[in-house]
Amino acid sequence: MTLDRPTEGASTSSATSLPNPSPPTDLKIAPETVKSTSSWMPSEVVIGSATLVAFLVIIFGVYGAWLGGKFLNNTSLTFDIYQNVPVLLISVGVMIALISGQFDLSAGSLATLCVFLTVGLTVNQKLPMELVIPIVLLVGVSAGLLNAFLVNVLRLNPFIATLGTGGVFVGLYTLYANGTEISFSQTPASLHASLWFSGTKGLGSFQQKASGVVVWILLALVILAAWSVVSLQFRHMNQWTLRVASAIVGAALVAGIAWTGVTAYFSWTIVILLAVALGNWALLRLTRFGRQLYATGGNPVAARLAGIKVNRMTTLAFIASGFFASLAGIILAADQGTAVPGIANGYLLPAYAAAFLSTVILSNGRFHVWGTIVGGIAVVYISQGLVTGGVSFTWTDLINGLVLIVAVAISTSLRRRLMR
Amino acid sequence: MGQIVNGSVAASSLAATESDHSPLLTVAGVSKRYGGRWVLRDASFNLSRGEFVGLVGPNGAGKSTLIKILDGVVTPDAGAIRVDGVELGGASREKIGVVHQDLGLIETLTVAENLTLGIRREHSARGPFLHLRSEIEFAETSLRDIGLSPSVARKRVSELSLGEQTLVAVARVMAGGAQLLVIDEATSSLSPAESTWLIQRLRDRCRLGAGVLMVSHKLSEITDAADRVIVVVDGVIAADVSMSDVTSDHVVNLMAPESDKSQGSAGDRATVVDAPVVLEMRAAQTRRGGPFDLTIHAGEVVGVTGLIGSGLYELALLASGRSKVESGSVSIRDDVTVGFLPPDRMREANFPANSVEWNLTICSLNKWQSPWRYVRLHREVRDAERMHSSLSVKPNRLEALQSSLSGGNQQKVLMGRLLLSTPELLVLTEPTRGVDIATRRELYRLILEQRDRGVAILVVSSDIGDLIELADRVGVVDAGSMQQLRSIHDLSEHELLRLV
Repeated sequence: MTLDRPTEGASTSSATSLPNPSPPTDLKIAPETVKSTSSWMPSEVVIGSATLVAFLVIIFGVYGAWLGGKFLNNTSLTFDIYQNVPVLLISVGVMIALISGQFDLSAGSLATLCVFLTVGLTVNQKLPMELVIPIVLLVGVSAGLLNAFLVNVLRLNPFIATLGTGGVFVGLYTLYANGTEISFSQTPASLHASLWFSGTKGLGSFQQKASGVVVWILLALVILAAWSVVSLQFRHMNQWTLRVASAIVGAALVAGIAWTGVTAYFSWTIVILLAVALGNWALLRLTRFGRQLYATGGNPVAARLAGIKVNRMTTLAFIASGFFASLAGIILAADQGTAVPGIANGYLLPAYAAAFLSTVILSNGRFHVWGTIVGGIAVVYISQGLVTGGVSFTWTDLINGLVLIVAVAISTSLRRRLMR
Repeated sequence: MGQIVNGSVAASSLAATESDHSPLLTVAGVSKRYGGRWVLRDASFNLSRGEFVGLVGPNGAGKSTLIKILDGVVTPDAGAIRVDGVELGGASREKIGVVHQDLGLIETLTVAENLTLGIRREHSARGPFLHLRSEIEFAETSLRDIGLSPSVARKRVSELSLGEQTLVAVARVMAGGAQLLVIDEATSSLSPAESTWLIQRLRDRCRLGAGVLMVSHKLSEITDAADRVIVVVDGVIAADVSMSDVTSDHVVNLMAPESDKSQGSAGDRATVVDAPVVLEMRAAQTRRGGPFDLTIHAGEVVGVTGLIGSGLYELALLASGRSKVESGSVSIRDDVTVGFLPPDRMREANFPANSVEWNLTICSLNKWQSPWRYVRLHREVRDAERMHSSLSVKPNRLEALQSSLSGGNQQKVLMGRLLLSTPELLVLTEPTRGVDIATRRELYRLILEQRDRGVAILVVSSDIGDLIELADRVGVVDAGSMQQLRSIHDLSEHELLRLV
């Protein structure tokens, strides 16, 4: 999804050009957490991990051997994630809607609208950033409420309803900006203080690395999350053996991550993405709300008869989708500095692609947040690797499409073959 | 056009006299295994034209696998299937028509449109266009043949009664050329009157030269209608006997040799009128049914029956608080947890794509919530595991998907879901629908255990057997409203049957 990728030299941060033979294990381990209760038969484990293993082999095995440090270096790998934070945030939002059985096709246009509002409210309305951000998030929530109203109260088909509101959002930013662009460079002098948000020194910049303490706390939480679910699978094991084994694996993970030094490369927006993923994982996996959301999407009639307030669930799902689309808009505005018509509209399809990839990554057909993030990043890595290797960037979209189809096709046919 | 179907039937009854040496269906040494487990081992039997054969066995015994093999959905690992002496495949496949419990009809299309779906096009098309008149004519002929009024051809399937829908499904497979009808539990959601009517129509087809293989958990249907019964236990054909040689008790013993006998009628108990009232309905009414008057005390079972479509389930929805009261009142004692088992397991209760563990715990997650409101997964799984093994659900894996379980095991899981929520009022609708006899007894035992623990229970069922086994007092819903409840020991089974 991104075209220009900085090489190591281009990085202003202290990029030590360590060749990176071992994968940064943090993100790869996390999806274990979402393995759900469903995979203990060998065949199910095979199916569930086939796609992930294929991705890892391609990215770290094939590309590692072919491109070496040109591709596998901390700067490039984190930059690819950084560039895709807005897409992945939209992805998390539409995935929550999908879990509840709903489609939100307005998320891309809403994100663009929010880019316009983030820049426009600063430049035109001269509001400080501290006010702009909550306002834009509120717009996202209201957009979700509007979608929920159309679907739950007026009983419109969600496809049609959100296609319609998506059109409305496009119309709104076109009217707001008279069909042109708005840029942070037009910010009035009085508000320059609030530029902590955009520009090379701003929060949204790749150069602004998060503090190591924050990154390590988040990574530790991710490992803990993975352990809390993986340990469920080993509940019949001797508890002391399990504890010792977990401690060893955990220490090895921490050592591995520390050795790659990748934590120094996390920009603030990547940290935000990681926090969003962790929070959503906890919400979906550990709370009654999450369970009821899955139930609503799985069988709405049964969910209602089981006493679940189905309409409330789908309303909250639409709100989540709107909220994360607006967060994506804010981050995109910070990254780009300019609101261009249609800037995030095209993110809708990659966002859905990532959400659907989650159903074949360490999953038995269910949507889940780690699969969405890992799937989205893996697709980017695979096409970026080819670009690094000399394939023209004009091939990117074609490759993305093929990766999605092949991944889903392999895992679906494996499932069919192994499960009778 | 109208003669085509009649013609084929006439021809086939002729064929029956000619080729008596090769039966309509021959199953020879058919085996199938999944993973390491044999679900069907060396199954062999014949079925001749004009025969009505019942296929019975406990849940998970291999009946469904056998039917899937006959249907061509599953390929056997060994053995052969012959139709009229010809190996199954190609044209001979059309001679076997399977009617599943879910019927496979498209409810939003008309009966005629459903009948011509997947049928050779000469009945319904001229060139690239549909020929609407011959489509209707074809449908009317098929309907007449099966004993339905031709006037239903233009109706939408959703407008028909369940019994009529089942016959339309039968008509559809026969119109496709089927001579062996495999009826897979299609009677389980029918009222007794409707299934008697349906079985009569099926017997008529038998007389004209078709063969019928019927799976049903309602043993009386098999014993009344079938010429022969095949009993499958643990993937093996345990018996293949003529109905004239055995009694239904016999068949029960064959199916569940180790199971204990019925624990005796619940009616022996004195009714607990002193116990506190848990549910009270006064002239409660919705748009679809009522008025209902009903009182249930703690520790008693009230059973209600009636014809399906008579407003029977409306009573259950009201009692469990799932339907809004339009007039009158429904009062449930304060802070009472209500467990509700909906009538249609597949559509209304299962979460098919989720694991058994997930299906068990979905209604009681608050039990495992920490003060910080997250669910303690370890405690959840531990309790689910306990419930799972106390119900002896098969397969013995919490991680199995709900949809991979047999009907009876699904029902056990759903019962487990209710029990985990420690309810004080249980509203159970069709608790034993489509469930084999051994599982049925287990479910009865579970329900009576709850009663003895002081749970107030309302059983709403079109199966009189449920009420006889469980209820202290019974009522009948007729045309939307309910007559006076009567104590079970004032009634004999015959009286109950007459009531319905």
